[in-house]
Amino acid sequence: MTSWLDPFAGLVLSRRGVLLGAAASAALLPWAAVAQDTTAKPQPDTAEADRIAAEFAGGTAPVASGIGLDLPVLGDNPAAVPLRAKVTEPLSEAVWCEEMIVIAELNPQPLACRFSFTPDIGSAEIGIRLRLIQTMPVRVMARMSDGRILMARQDITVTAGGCGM
Amino acid sequence: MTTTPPRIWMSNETPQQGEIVRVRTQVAHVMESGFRLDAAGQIMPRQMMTRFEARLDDALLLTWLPEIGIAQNPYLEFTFKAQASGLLRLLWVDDSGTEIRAERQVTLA
Repeated sequence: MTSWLDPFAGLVLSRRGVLLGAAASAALLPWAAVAQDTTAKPQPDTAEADRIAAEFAGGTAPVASGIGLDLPVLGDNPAAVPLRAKVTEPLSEAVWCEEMIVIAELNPQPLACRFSFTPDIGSAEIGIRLRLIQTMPVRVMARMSDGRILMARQDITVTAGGCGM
Repeated sequence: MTTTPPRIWMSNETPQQGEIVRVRTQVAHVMESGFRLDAAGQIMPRQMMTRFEARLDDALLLTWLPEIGIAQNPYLEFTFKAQASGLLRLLWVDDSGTEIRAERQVTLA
């Protein structure tokens, strides 16, 4: 007996009916129509990232120091992962950072962005927000005016892909 | 293309000589990668912000070339060393050639 004390008693059957109906119609839909919303594919390995890094380095061996990389270990929103990078050594008119690149190694296009600095800026610190398709290493490289290549690399874990967003 | 003005924050508009000034910027932009499909399964056309420049008066400070790995409504933070008073001029350019400009006066204390 449905009483005013149990307002949902009358809803149970109809709610179950709605759920069953939804499941049945989903089963009839072709998978491709509901599953795929992006043509982006992650890189299978870091080969493309290595190629970009080698092109940037131009034959110079990168030094794994001199860049402070601030990246979360866990990217809870892969559509906007905060990244901050800074050349930590003192900059001057004689030695400054000419160029900096950010490589999200397994993204469909690993090169995330490129910076060019002039000596006038007197600093080399940037903050951006990445979108990442999956868990991957992120690499930041900087070319100094004296020819050295600085590098920093960190792994980041993300939950779901952000490239389709 | 949106007409929302860029959001800009500066750590100090009247810095001391040689002070490092921090600038945070964000513009509204879809940053459509050209990889996504719409409800009909058609590829949504690419529409990306592709270039940013910061100048103090006419002196170029930095250029930023975002690719598709950069999030929607691109956020950029940078620092520069205050060496002269001037107008900090910011420029964003997207695929379709649309330009967004913003300016902030920097005056040495």
